[in-house]
Amino acid sequence: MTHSTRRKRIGASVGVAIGALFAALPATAQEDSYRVYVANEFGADITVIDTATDEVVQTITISDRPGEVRPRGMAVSPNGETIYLSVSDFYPEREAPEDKILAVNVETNEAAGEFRAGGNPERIAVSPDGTQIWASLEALAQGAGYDVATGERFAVHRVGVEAEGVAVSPDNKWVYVTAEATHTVTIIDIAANKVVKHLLVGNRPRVVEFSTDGKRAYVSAEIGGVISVIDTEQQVVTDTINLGLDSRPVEVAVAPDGKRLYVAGGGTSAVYVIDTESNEVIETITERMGRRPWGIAITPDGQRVYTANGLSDSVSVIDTSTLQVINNIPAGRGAHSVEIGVVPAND
Amino acid sequence: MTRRSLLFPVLAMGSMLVPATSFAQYASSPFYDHTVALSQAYGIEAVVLRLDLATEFSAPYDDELAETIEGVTGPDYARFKGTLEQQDPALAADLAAALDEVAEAVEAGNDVTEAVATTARELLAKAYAAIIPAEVRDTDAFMGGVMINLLLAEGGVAEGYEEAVENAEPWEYPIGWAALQRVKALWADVAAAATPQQLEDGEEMLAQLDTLYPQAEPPESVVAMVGLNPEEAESPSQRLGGILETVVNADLYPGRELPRLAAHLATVTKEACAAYAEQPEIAAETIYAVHDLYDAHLADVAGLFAPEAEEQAGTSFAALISADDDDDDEREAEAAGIPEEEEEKGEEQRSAAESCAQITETLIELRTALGG
Repeated sequence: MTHSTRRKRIGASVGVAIGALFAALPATAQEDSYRVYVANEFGADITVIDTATDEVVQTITISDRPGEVRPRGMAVSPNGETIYLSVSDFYPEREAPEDKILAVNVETNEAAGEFRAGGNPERIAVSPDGTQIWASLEALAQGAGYDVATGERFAVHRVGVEAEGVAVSPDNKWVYVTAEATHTVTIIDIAANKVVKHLLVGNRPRVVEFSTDGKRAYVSAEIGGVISVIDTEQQVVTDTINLGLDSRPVEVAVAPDGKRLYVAGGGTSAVYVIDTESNEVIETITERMGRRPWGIAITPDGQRVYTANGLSDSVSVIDTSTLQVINNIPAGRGAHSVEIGVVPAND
Repeated sequence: MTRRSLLFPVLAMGSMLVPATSFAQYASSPFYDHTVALSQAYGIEAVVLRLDLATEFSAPYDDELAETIEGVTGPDYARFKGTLEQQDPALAADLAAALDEVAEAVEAGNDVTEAVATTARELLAKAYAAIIPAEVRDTDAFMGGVMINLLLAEGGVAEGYEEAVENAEPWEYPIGWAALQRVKALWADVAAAATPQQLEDGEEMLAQLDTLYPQAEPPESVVAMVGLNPEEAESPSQRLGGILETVVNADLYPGRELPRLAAHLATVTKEACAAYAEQPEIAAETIYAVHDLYDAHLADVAGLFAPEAEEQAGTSFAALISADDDDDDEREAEAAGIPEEEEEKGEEQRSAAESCAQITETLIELRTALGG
């Protein structure tokens, strides 16, 4: 079966095809299985990969207007069972119906809901309790919070110019939003519903991720070629990890045990592996890497890292025990971001 | 309440603690080492691009295109006019006459002949040699600075495409096309220093840009604004910029250290302020250079951390230079610091010097606000 014949629009019936798909899944009944979701910016679709076989099992069409509508940032619910996707058009000054957040049920790959998010949502984050989604609204220089159950926007705050990355702290108290043009991270106090601080970080910050214990936040700076490390208690930048000016880091992924940080280096087509204790690069993975990795995610068991490679339209698979690329998988056009969903055992 | 006292509550929100990072990966920093020279070089390049459009198209020119071509005597010219007049008055006079001839032909609805354009190009080449010392202009680092401006600055490859598509201004497209042709020519010059992989990567990006700029005239898709990504030229331009940095071994993104940049621009501006009384056109050249870097790297962050300083900077820059082609001749004369009435001269120059000093002060405040 070709990828094109597997294509379907979200919301359409999957029926027998999905049934056959699950029948083919090799995961045992006792283990959760993982699926990799790759947002393809220029193809306007999502590539779904089964981690057990590292094969593409489905391509989900987001829009029949590729090139006009673009899926970009993704986030996964705390239980791993829902993937959220930010979708927008190419006109940041114009609010359009395409500006929205989509939910995809990992088990069925069916749409599980959508709601408006005007202002070109670029990246999104889910709160630890799964009840809120926060989005960076690129065109409006805003960070906005949405109620997952109702889709209602309950908060909106001015952040830096060209808002990009967003993350919610593990204690569910803070939202961090990066902004490319102002080189900042804006810190939002969720309970007080106000901005408390703008922090200057590396040049053109892209993505922010919290450490597993929430004590640090890591911010990639694409032009700066650095990771800015924020002490979340003091709310100051305490360290800057230099990856090289040509590294052009974008997405980062924190290992489940918190000991390593994996950084997608778009400029060097590399993945940088950082020891979070020393904040030093312990490995730079380039061998067999796809070209211009932007997206990066790690499986919940910590064994595999997947990168979305925008220039080679592919996904590279890294074995975290050997820190070597063990596979490359075709994705759609303009692979942008990647997330890992979970299909629970006994389903 | 004074402006300064208003500033501090805002700054209190920002972080003052920004650990220093070494950016010594590349051998040189042309935007720091040759701040004004790069602006002058870009001014000359931009005038040449307008000449290229004059001969690429024929009269009657579209109104927007005509305005672009007539810009040969506008702010781009003001970036180097004063220094050229000082270095080689005869050449400056010849060039002024040639550019006037181009602008007048377009205004009259006539073609700019190849002969007229060729004369102007030759004079501009001489001007380039007169203004930019050989030991500077022939370095890969300096050429890289020129190229990154052609790729990413206003009127460059990425911006030309974005303006055309996003703002429904299709005649912004040809200037982006012309800039790309120039980038390709310069790439051929610096490519000798590239590794095979850098060469392959760079040419791949140029090929991507070629697909966006297949011709000088705006394609129908651009005119119709159907399904195009305004930022589509930015990604390959940015990536080419990154490749270029490694090829020419130079830091081509001066905004990596914002406090350092603010401090540097304050120093450069202060030197120019002293020149306003005697050499207003030459002083204005520095302000053009400072404004470019401020606008590209500091204005947005100033708007967040120090909005009053940002507002003050905008007012002060506007008092000294003209940032676009739409302004009339009077504004351009003011931009060059040349008041029409002699009795107003002293007052105007005092005003210019004061605005210049204000920019210096604002940049120093901004450096502090950014933790420098």
